[in-house]
Amino acid sequence: MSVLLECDGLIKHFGGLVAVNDVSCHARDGEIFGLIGPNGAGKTTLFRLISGVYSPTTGYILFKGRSVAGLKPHATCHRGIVSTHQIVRPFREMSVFDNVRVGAEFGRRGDRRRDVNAWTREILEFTGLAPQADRLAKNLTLAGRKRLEIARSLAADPELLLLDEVIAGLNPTEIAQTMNLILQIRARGITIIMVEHVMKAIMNLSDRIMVLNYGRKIAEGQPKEIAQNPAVIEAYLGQPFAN
Amino acid sequence: MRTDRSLTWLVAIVVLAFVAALPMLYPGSYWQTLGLITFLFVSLSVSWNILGGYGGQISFGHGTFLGLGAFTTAAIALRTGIPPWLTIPVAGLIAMLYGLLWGYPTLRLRGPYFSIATIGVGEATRVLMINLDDLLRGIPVLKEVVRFRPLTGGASGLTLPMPADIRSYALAYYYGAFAFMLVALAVSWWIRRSRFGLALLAINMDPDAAETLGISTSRYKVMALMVSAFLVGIVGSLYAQYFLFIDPREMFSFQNSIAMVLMPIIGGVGTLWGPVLGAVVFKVVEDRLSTARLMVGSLSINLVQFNLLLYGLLLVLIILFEPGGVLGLIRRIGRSKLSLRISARFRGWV
Repeated sequence: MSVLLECDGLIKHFGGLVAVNDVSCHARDGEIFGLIGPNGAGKTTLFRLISGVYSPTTGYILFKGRSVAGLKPHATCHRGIVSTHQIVRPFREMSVFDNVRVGAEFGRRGDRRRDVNAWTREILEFTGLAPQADRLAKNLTLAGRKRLEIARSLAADPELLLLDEVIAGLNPTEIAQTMNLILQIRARGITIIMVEHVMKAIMNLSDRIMVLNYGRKIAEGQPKEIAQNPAVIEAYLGQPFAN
Repeated sequence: MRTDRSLTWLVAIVVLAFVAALPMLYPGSYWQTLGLITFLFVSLSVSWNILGGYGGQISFGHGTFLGLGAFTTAAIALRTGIPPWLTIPVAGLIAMLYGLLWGYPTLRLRGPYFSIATIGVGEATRVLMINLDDLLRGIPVLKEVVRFRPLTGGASGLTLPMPADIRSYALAYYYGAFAFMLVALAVSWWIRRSRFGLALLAINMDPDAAETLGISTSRYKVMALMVSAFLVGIVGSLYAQYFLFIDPREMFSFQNSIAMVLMPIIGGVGTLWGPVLGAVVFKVVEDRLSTARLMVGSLSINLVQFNLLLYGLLLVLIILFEPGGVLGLIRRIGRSKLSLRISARFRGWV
């Protein structure tokens, strides 16, 4: 598997605060790369650096060998990187269909897409939102809105999908459904980087996991190795549990 | 939903027929001029709504486009002697370019910050335009531009030559303004159902999410401002052509900018017909109150400025209780239990 995304020596300052401190990582084509860490570890900031909401203070972000650091989010979207938002942000007064159509119209290759409506319907079918297509987004349940967030991003035709806590807050049935959906997305050939606090989900889904703490990478490896890593246990539970 | 739409169209057709017939009912009258002014204000309201309603970017600087359109037409017509109506596209273009000039930097600001910046732009433009001639006279090469003829006329304004047949001229502009209003409505209708409109709507509801999904928010906002500025510039041009006298203090006044914000909000911001309704309410209220007198005992009170108080009250009520404006109110009444009961009873009789 070739490397799709490569970050090297990423640093992001907000005034005196170093949110991301010298992080290097990569995501291979077609894998699910998990990102965990305690609150404030810099996970979301790292996502925002990759998707272009922030530009890094220093460091490289290479996507398919080309630099995407400092590009605006709409430009990274056109390159093939699409992110979901941690706090769901549907276009509330639009129908579910139109929400997804925005991604279809303006996402990667959107201006060259001949039949936007057919693509939109396909995505709605794929994500299981088709029965709710005509409802206003604001009337969906939380699970529905989280699913819409994923559907909309998929409509933008990403090669790399950044999922920011799409499972947290769901009930066990919904968690199982969303985990299944994530596997199906990967089966479409889309690489996924996901931030998640629900350990059961991320341990089962991820091919590899990276752990951040205070903006630094403290561990990286397969889920099994991560679960036994003393530095990780210390970061989550404190020193006495590490041994 | 369908009957709601066909009802809208029915109302529109009746109104259009009345408007077309008005000059024949009252030829060359006060009503004809009021009609023309209403068309121009409806156009302003509809044009502002493209950026402010669909895109959600509340601009208090649209008066600059109105003034620039008017003075472009007047300055060109006075210099070259060509018929003023030929300058209409130029007036629109100049306004559009000015929109690009100030829209590009200001639209990077969000929400109220953008609105505040546009107030600054509007006021700076007004002061600049009032003093433009004097300013240019002080600059070596540029002073040739205003050597024989002024650009804005400063405090004395510009006067266009009187046409030979004033009655048919007025009638022509009555229908011309009417036609232009339809053009503005058509543009607004087209944008609303186009890809461009979807982008504006998305930006309005959540600019960050729109950006994530591939919409270049700054590009679409600037484009919406330019379309809007083009249309408003043409209204300014038509205004100058009809009234033949324009004063920079009045054309670039803050009141015009405010009017363009108030009308769509009163009528129903972000909809196709709301701004039309708002402009009609706005102009009719202003017109009726400017001649009305309130008798309190033996005291007679002039109500000329009273309309501003009324708009303020209306605005507060709309923002508090019915963000959909007058159109939203009408729809709410249409859906209410009362109207359902009435229509049910009506059906029983038939």
